[in-house]
Amino acid sequence: MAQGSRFATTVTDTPQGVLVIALAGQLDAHTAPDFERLLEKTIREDTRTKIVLDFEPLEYIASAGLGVLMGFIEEVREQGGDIKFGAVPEKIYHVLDLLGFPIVFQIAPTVDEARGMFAS
Amino acid sequence: MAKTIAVKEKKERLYRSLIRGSSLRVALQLIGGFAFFAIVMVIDLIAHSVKSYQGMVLDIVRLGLHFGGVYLWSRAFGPFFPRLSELARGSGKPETNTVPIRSMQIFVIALVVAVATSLLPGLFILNVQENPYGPKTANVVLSFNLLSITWAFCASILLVGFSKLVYLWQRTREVRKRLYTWLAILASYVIFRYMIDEAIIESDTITDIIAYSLVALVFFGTLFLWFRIPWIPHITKRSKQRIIFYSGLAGALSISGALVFEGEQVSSIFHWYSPFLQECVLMLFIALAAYFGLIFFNALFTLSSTELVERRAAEVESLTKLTRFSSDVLTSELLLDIPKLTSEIATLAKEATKADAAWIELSTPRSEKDAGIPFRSYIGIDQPLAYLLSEQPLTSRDRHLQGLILSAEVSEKLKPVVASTVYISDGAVPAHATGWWSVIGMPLINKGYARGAIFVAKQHEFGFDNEDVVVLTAFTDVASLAVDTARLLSDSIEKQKFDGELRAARAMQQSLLPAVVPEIPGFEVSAISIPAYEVGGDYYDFSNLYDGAPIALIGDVSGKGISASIFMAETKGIAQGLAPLVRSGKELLIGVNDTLMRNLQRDATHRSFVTLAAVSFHRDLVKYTRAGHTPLLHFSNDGQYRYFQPKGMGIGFVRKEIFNNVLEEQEFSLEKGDVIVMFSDGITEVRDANNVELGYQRFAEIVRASRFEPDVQKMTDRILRDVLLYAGAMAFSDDATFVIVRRL
Repeated sequence: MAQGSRFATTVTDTPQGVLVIALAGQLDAHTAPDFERLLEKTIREDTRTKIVLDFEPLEYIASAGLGVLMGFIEEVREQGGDIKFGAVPEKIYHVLDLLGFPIVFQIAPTVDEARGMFAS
Repeated sequence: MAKTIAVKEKKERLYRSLIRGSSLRVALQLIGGFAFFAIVMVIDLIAHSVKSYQGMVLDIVRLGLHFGGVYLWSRAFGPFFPRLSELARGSGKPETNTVPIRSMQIFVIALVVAVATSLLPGLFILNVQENPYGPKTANVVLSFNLLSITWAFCASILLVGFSKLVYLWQRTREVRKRLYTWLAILASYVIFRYMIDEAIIESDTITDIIAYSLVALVFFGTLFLWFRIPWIPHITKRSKQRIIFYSGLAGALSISGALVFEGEQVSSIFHWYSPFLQECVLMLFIALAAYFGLIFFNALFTLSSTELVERRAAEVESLTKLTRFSSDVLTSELLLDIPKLTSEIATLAKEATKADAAWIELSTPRSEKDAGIPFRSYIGIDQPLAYLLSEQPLTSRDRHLQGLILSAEVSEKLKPVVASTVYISDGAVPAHATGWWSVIGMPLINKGYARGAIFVAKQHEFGFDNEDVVVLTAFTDVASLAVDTARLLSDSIEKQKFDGELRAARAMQQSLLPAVVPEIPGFEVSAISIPAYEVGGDYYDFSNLYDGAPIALIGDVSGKGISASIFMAETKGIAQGLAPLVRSGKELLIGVNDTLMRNLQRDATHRSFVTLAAVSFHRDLVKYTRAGHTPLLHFSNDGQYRYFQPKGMGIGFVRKEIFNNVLEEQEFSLEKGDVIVMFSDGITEVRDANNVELGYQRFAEIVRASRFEPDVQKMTDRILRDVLLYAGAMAFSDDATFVIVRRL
């Protein structure tokens, strides 16, 4: 696989203004800046703050990727939005769990359930 | 001997001073020339007063003095003509065009003056025929002398200019030979005519025939000797048009000059004054008429082929440039400056094909490090328009190109693609840019792949021909090489920088680790940290708490390289400073988080965090607390193991209110022979050949297998060996760290 395509994101707009961003591949020190730019654009330029991250296609997440997630959560919440996780694979959940992410982020078994959390 | 050298030096000094003072030399030559004519005038006046005005001896003396004057003057005028011999032999240089034109202009002026003064005697009607012994008054003698001075002046200019033009582009012996032959023909004509005029030879039919043959010889000899005018092919079309104009004018003036001199009135006057002078001037006019006629027709007939010649010259020029460019570029600092290199390439491509615009696009950068460098250059075109021409589906009359994207086509076919008809109608570009274009796309190929493309465009249809493609192909080969070398170079420089940083980071990280593992009474301790190639942020340390209880720390800083090392140093400093002030590992981690949160960069871009775990030893009890770090492995002496994973968030993530609330501390007793292993994720995330992670369970099995080693040092070695065996590699891709403690 070429270096540039190790990590990919797919952004889908869903009803109720919730933006679903699917993460695929490997989110590590090399690809984290791309992810960061995407979040920055989404949150600061497009002012979209209701975000569900679809972890299902993600193979690997490194500390740099986790840093990006942590970096935006406060900003999003200050604006009345949230970042919720859906369909987190077990291995990635383990990493998130070690770092205490489940305490900060709401994590749902599926993307639809994560979206549903915005309604309630 | 010494004397001759001294003389030589003296001469040389004199010569040099003369050369240096060239304005003085010119002045002296001008005055000298006048002096000759003044002598003629004095002789004429004396002859007039003694009433023996005519005669061969007088004529020859007069002519000799005239030649002397003309010679000195022509030497004086030399420097005023453009330095033709010094011209660089490069076509397309401005001098190549300006020098002949400038010379022609000077000719025309000199001829106008000469012809105008030739008319004067006729206007003033110096009727000398009535007096067979010469002019009536001294005034007439003076008038003749003044006239001849004017002609001589003009003739000097014409002669110098002529010789300079003849030598233009070819100062060879052969040309000199031709020049002498020509002068001999002219001289023989003058002498023969003079002899007939003065009745030295009987004038009959045969002499007439010879005389006319000599006129023909002067005319055709001129044509033949100077037929090839070497500078004409090298001048541009525009300059050629001007040359045609001026040479036509000069030719017409020469002919009218010749006619005036052959005319009854003027000829008879001059015949009377000096038959020699008359013949010389007449001959000069004929020869010049022939020469200018030659230039005129030569320029006229080659006018149509000029464009082709110009093109060839431009091609040669651009290929020369290209060669120079390739040799320059492969050694110069251009290679260190990719944007400058690409813009240089685009400029040259535009020149080589005489295109209106050229642009270059380099495809996907080789590594992320390149991403910041602009890999595009646009010369003579705006980016939006270039984008429409090369990156958008084409609107074209060529059916095979209709709807295709030029850049894609080029990189797919790996061959030049010529689009002779491309229509730009988009409102996004300025109105003057809309309409038909022709574009060539050339792939920049390296190792069989397209690494980008060069495009040249003209704002009309069918703007390029095969020659352009050939030239551009040769050019692109060199450009590819240059671009690729530049990229390799920039990569290796980046790598060097990176390697330098790595060494610094590694040295720093090593210095942050404890030099020796401390002795903990009743326990056996071993620790190891192996940095990966791209140093990560693993860390371990030992300290003592407020009550003196030993504490072992292990951590993993997010990020890599020097920034991770700095962050690690910060963490170590805080932990070492706080440990003696707190009573437990939990308090220590809370303190570290609190301090770091207050000091950390708040923006997402630089968000760093660290995972940290602490084990403190209190007699039989061990207390474990964990801030986001990997769990603690505990092996009982009976071979059972468990992982302790108390709750705790990474340091640097959340405010202390949340962090402190979440953080847990677990305590358990450590029996004799029990082992605990603190480790970083670099160990358990090691992958085997099938990309399968080692994981906690397999790691525990490896530790279990090492349990019976005599000391923890040997255990450490064996665990490390087994982990590497699992990975099938000799190095870790992430830092790998573990600390083993065994109860004695």
